[in-house]
Amino acid sequence: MTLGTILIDDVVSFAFMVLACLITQRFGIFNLAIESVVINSTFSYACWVSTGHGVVTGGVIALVSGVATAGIFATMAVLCGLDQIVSGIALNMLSLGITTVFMQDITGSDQVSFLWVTAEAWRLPLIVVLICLSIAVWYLLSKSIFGPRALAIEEDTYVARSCDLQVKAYQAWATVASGIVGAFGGIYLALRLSGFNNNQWKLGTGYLALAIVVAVQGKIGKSLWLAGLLSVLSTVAQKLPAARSSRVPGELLDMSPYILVILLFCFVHPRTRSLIWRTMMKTTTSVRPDSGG
Amino acid sequence: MNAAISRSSRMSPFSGRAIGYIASRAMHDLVMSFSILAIASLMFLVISRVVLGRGPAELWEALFSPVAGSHPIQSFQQWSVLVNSAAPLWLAAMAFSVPYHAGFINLGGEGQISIGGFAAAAAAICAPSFLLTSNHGQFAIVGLSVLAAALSAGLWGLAAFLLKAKFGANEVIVTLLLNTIALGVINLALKYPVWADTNAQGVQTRSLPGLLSKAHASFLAAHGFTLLCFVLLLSSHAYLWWSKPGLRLRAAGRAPAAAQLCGINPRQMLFVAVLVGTCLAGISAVDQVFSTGRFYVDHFVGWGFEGITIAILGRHRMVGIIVTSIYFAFLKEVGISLQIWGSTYGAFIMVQALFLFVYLFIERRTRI
Repeated sequence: MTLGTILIDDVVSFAFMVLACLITQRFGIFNLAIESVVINSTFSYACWVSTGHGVVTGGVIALVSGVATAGIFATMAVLCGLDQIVSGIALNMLSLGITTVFMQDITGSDQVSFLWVTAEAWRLPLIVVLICLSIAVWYLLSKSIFGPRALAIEEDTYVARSCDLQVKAYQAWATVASGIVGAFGGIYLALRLSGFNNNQWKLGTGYLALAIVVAVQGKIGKSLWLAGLLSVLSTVAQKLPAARSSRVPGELLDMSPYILVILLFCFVHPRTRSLIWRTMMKTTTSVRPDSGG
Repeated sequence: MNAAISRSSRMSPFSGRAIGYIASRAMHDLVMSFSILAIASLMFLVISRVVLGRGPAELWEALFSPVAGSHPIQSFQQWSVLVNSAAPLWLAAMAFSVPYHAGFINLGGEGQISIGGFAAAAAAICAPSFLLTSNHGQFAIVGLSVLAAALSAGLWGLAAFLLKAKFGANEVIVTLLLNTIALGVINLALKYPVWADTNAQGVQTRSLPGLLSKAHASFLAAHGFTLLCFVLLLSSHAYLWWSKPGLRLRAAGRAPAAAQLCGINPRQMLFVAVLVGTCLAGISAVDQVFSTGRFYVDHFVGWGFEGITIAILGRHRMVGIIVTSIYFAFLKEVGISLQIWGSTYGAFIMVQALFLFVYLFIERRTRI
């Protein structure tokens, strides 16, 4: 695989997760269970395809699995009113435990794998799905009536209820919708890894996706942009063999994407830009008399 | 729902309709809560029968049975083990709680704890040799390590504060990314043979010089540190909830503009809160370092997020944090029980998730 393909793969699977988090975040749900949605859909897809079944039916099963997981989270966090963070963590742990146990039962090892060749053709359609979903989410949350409603629910549920909004219904449906989006991410991840391996799954990827959404205050463009940037920097740092063989310590290379993101975060903030602008102006004014003289 | 709210607001508190409404709400809550308990019981049954292939009674016996020859919640020794392993989590929880009330979401607990642990180990390894020979000197080394842990973690946390205060960088992302950067920095630092164990597999420091061989040092590691944690927890709780500066801090976190109008400097409050929180995070690692006699990076994986969960579940209050952290320590003990019983890692995680569901049930019941 070329570096470009690897980059696209990393960006797309992470972008699906960010998009899923964004939908729930805009409706005031702190969706930590996105990890369990992705784990379950990846696992079910990989299991289905590895046993010789069709890719399309595998996709449907992965979607059902993702929606079911999101439905459980919606029941717990929205309908039963349990603590969103703890229910999310509990579901994540449960998914990780179930998949580990089932994989050991099915394959006798820690992984399920299938041939990449059979699934490679599905990469482009999934990228198109991501683009379409992004546009749809942007339209629904920015241009349609759902945008202000989501904003009202996110800001204050009591105020939203006083405006005759069915807050719990909106939140539950948003969670289920995020399950669909997350499941697409899971399918893509399964295709990318040619299977599912619990050891390869980085716990905390969902938390990072959620942190991105929280940090940019639910702005879809900024979320996807940041998700892409983080994935690209991370992949570049890990995959560049030339950089690895140089005299620069590997630890510094590993840290560099994160340092760059922090610097970028500082730079994009208006306060920093004004600080830089003022410093530049000061330099210019202090230089001008000398140059004039 | 809106109609229900407006109806209830028009009703007299003693009218039949009001009582009926309250009763129906209570019944709804009760049904919801018991359905969660039913799910938890079903999970327990499934885990024991399908996953582990044993009876539920047998699993129950294994969970609450003999870790070291005695019942875990019946002997004083087992209780002290639970409290000792819970003690660092008190500080990890306060590391989130104190900055949180000043309006700073600190997700970087894990990095701060790791940096603190490494600094504690490095300080003990590099301590002057004459301190090792005397009893008081050994205590000085422990004190030095605590100080080094607090200072290093404090400085590490202040980086996030500076980035937020000076450049407006969002602390959620910055602290999260600083976790990974902290691990990179530690890995880089452990390339130097001054403190690194170059022969060992995995990222770790050399063993601490002869501290654990002394009886009083072992006692200090086992019980003295718990006492220190309790004192720090009590102090930070008193500062946050019972003192005037704590009130100012919370006011600055909740409404910075209003607090500024009242003469409070929100940025100063934020600085203090981040410093206190991150120093506590650093100190929480010292116990682990002295118990194992060296610093391993892997020991602190997940501590930061455990601290956040405990702080949230304990509702940022001292008693809540203590109870929740003991519950989490109990979950770890359960893991050891299951390992002895011969179960897999997956089953252990499932049992942990099950206990979290039970906790959610209890939390839901107490909320009614």
